[in-house]
Amino acid sequence: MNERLEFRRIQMELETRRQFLKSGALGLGSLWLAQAGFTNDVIATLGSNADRASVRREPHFRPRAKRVIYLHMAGAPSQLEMFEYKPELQKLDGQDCPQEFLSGKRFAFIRGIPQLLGPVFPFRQVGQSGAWLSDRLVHFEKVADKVCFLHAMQTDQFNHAPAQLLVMTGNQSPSYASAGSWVTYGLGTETQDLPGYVVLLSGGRFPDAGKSAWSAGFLPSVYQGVQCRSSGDPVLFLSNPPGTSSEIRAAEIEAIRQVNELTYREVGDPETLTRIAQYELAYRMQISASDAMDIRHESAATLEMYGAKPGEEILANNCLLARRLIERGVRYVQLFDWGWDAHGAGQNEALNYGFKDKCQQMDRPVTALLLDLERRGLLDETLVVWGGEFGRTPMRENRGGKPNEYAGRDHHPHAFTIWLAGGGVKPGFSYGETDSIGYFPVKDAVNPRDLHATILHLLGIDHRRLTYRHQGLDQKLTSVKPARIISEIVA
Amino acid sequence: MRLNRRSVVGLVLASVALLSLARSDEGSGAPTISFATQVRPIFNQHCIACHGGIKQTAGISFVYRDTVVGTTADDGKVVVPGNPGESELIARISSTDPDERMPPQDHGGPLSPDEIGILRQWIAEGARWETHWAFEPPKHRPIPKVSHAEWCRTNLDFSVMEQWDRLGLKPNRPADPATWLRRVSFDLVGLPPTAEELDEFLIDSSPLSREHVVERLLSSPRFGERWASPWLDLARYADTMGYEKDLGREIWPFRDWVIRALNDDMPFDQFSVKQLAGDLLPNASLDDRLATAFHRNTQTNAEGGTDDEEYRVAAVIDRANTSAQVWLGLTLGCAQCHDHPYEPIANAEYYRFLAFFNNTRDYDTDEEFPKAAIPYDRNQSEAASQLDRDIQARKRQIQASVEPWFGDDRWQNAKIESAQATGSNELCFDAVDGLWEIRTGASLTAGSTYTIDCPLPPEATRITAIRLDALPLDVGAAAKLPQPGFILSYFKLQLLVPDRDPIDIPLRYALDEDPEPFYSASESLDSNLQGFSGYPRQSQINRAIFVPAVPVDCPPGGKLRFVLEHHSSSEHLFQIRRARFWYCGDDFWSEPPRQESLELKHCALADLEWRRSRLNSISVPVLSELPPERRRTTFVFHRGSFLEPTEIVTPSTPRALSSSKSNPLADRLELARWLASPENPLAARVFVNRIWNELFGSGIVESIENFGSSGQFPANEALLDSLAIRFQSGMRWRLKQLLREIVLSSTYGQDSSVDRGAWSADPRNRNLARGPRNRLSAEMVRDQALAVAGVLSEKMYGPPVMPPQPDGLWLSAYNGQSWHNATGEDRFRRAVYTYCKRTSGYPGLLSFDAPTRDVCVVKRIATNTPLQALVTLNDAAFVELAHAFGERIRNCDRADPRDKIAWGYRLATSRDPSPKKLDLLLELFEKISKSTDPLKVSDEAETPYSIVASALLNLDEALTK
Repeated sequence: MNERLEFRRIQMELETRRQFLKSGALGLGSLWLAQAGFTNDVIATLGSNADRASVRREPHFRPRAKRVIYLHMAGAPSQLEMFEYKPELQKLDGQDCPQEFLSGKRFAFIRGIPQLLGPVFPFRQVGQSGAWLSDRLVHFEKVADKVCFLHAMQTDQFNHAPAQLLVMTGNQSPSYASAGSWVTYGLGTETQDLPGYVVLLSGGRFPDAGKSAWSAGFLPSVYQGVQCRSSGDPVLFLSNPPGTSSEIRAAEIEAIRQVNELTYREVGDPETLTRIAQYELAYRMQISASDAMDIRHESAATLEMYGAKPGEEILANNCLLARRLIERGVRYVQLFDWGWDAHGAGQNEALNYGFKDKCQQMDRPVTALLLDLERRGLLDETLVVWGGEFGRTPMRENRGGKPNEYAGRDHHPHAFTIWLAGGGVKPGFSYGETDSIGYFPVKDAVNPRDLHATILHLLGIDHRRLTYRHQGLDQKLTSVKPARIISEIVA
Repeated sequence: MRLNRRSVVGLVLASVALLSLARSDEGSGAPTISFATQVRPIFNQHCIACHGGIKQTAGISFVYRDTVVGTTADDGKVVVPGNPGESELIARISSTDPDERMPPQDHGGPLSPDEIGILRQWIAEGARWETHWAFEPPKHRPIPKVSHAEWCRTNLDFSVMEQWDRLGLKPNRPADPATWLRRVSFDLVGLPPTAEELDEFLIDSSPLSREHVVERLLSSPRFGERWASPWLDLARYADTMGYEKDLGREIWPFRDWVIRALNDDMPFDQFSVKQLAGDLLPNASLDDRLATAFHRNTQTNAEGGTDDEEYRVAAVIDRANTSAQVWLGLTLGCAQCHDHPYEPIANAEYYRFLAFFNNTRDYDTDEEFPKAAIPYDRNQSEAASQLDRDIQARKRQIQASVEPWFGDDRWQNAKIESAQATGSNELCFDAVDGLWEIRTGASLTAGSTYTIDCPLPPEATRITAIRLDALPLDVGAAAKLPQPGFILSYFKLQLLVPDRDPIDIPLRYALDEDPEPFYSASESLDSNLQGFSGYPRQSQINRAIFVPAVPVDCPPGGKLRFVLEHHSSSEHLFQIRRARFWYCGDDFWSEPPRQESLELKHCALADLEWRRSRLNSISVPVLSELPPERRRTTFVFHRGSFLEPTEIVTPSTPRALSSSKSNPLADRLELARWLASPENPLAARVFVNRIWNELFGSGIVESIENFGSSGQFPANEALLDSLAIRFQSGMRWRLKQLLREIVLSSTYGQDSSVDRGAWSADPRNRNLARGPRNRLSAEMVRDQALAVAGVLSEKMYGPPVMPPQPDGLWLSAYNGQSWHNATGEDRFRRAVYTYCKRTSGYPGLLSFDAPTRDVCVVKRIATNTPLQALVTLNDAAFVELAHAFGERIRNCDRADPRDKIAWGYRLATSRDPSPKKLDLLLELFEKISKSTDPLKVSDEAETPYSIVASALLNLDEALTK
């Protein structure tokens, strides 16, 4: 079609020119000249003049991972009841916390002198790697040899919303770009018909940081995560309105396209061409997103393996959806599962009640996800990350100075566990150690910047070179502070 | 792929050469090298990573002249003016020894010969170090001579054409009148012209027809509604607090204040001063105080277990950064942790600027104190303002009369004999420096009651008043970093007499030393209220006086018992950590009532407060300054962390911006007056540029958020400066005047389409040789649909509304609020009135790039995405409007479908369709008519007309202005 060829030629002209002019958003990718075919072009030029220039498509070096599934357990799960075995803490159970751990520290809810709380559940060693798991993780035993634990993760935020923002966007304040936005900005997407960055929620609530946790921040809004849902419209406004058949809709979009093409001939504004392309893309997305999000297409065995229940908004469904989306070329799938904040102030947030249930709801589908990805040959090039926004204190929470009614732990920014799997990380490996009660790291601490630098590295991106000009600064996911690629965990 | 840096630089130089041409008339013998456009960019790109604001390796920073340019060869500086051969800089950048050469290989490698040549020539010409253009006041320029003066309609056209004459460009043809009308209608009132307005304009042959249109639009109440949105982006206005819980916040009267001020064309200097410091204006009205809600749009963190001081500081930092963004066009926040990397703004200067904002009462409390009570009925504003002033005056009077009474010399410190607390609190007591006090230990339990017994000496036979001092555990440390606060929920006084039950002493009233505490001592007399407080944090001693109903006669051996109840929640533990008790027998407290006695003053105050409470009002968070004696000390924070205060600073503006004659500014009010004055070289430029961006889609300075040296140069400096100068003088800071000049100009009135060659030569229209063509803003997309559907409500002001949005989008943790789709008129209000929830914005607006309003947003980046198409095609809120629009088309007074569709097309795009386009739409209509049952007309099923209406609303021409 003439318009299409014309469109591509203009885009290339524009792009070349902008690269040389080097103004506004800096981005000197080799995108245009390397691309072939209209549809790729359309994807690559999502957005207006303002952001075309900042699109990069090619990684900086050979990637180990092509895609990411990030499982965030919002509320911060207790490492001491899952992956971090501390027999010494068991011995000290019930004793007053030594003053050295309290003075100068800020706590969300602990007041006065709290008591140490031993692991609430027994641990055992599993697999060849001999990883320690609590008895709450039954299925996970099968994949423990596939994951790489970071036992000495640290943050500097001890409230949920800021800590989630920090681990998602690299900054504790809202308005920064999330890691998923950076990755889609850096690599684009491999799918023509789906958003490149999809967000799935379970647990009945937003993560505490709300939509800011998947915001594009200062990046153009095309890079923000698109929330998909397993009930209702899978993507907001995806379905035709009641009474509008797909034939009618097809005719309407065709008419819009034809009129817009005439407008382009009259006015010559390339934005009109972009708009034509976006309407076609929207139409295709209506079909492919509905299909991708429909887990009823899966076999009964698969549904069983994940514990998925079509129509519900649960973590199991979202784990399965993550795999379906990844299969279809989505670059970054971000899951949030709300409800891990086990303070012990009430039953549903007690370690031996609500938390126990959360473990059960997580154990099976997350295990299934890793097994399923592996079985389909996707694990090698899919990086899976699992974690919370901080850890839990070795002390039993004593809200208002009195031990809480149920066993629970307060927010603990100094040390917690996250794990990675697939996508070029060492399987069956543990990195980082904490002291005998799990309070501070004693070896190989990792902060969120290091984690981000490492995720980008595995994706073939140099975190120092993935930048976007905003407010006079070349902004980076890893900010201006030092960030280290954890090369020790790269396979 | 990495581009060859030389070619990039070459092109940069070629493009900046045009700019330097503009400057070359500054006198003969002028240097050929421009520092600002040629030298500084080299420093910024290659040197400042190690020799800049952050790292100043070897004491050299290319941000500060003094560290670079010397006078003689042996003063240790790397540049010797006039002598490149003696300059270490040249030696290092041209060295062939990789160990010597700058920049080192791992920092980008050697400079190009061109770049070295520029630096060499610059030094040879004297190494002149220019102040960054934007830090110099705008220069007044006479109206230039141009090739086609007859083309120019307003002053700005001359500046535009002057540049064209230099570049050999010509104006584009004028836009057709309908296009101009659509453009100007959206730009001024945010709505498309109605069919009648279009007809009227097209037949109006008077030479002033455009002026008439502009006057009509400028005086429309819709004007303020349209122009409020960009300002509210800057103000980060939202209807919720943000962060985790994202609770509702009633601050919409501020949005209404902005709309009114814009409609009244309040001059921008006044508009600014009121919002930054309306509370400090002499005789401030309630409206002036309401304006300061501008800086209460910062987020409040109500998440459990957060540190209120941390988020108070975060809000103050946001205020400083936002003020710098809005009035200086600078990214001052870069200097928060270290010296600014590019601009000559030192780390400490950031905190000096911040100090202006660090003295307000607000404290990240969930209640969002302090607030102003704004009457719902505007007619009561005046009366309310007057009552507020009277109440203030009364309070000051009372304060003045009791203030001397807080002095220690009038009181006896009560010796403590026992102190007990409920719960696991350890209460110890002893005399420190001769003063008896109680202190809590490490272990604390919420809701504890303290009982303190104090034996009285024989001479204390009569007690007329009690003073209670609540102290931070460490008074010195609290001055640097506030300590946990307290609320004394209930205070009870008893007299202990040997062999008798304790006797309750009724208390008549209580007085705070703090003139405006969030919770007052008098509340401690009622166990249902809050109470005497240092809330939410304590940074100094808080004192309160309690006065018994009648003087207490103490028998020998009598003791006073103080009972202190704390009711605060377990989360906060607002409990007194340390306290002293005092008693006094002076008759001052027990004098019989007489004229102007404390008692009467209290009655008068209570009467005023009662009358004020009768004016039905909404409480809005506002700024309120702490009195001098309670002022905060501002520190430089080490690496930006409030937990590490270092050097003490006093308020001042960055030196780079202050003219030598400007005196140090005393407070926020003086800062506000300076920020919005010609003394600030940036105020008018930054404002004018933002307005230009709003109309043309990009600013004269394209980096509208950054006027610093790392930002871009103005595409037409003369145009920017002449508009800025005239805006702040002739136009007297009036937005409507500025808009009048712009929209009536020939530049603005040009056609937006040009041939491919012209377009490719200037794709972003930096030279303005064509008219603007931009996508509608998020608000305009919705408002247009409302308007053409014929349902747009003209109701103004009031609480935010909830037009339809899908279920299940509001899921904030620990927040029970929900979205209820509005019915009736509120369903169809202008987008500016839509409820704005920070963590879950209205999807239809966010898709079209409306910001979340978390922080100040200077520029919305216009995107073009498939999700936008899904909104305008499928969002129920839109479908409803397409349906209404379809019905309107069906019922219009045209005979056949073709004419009806043409009528609708004109409504949605402000122009007549070409026959070919009309054919296509008619074809769509007929196709659907065939496929649908003509008898089946329900609200659910779409009619052929509503599908055509939907198509019309989705046309490129409809989404564009």
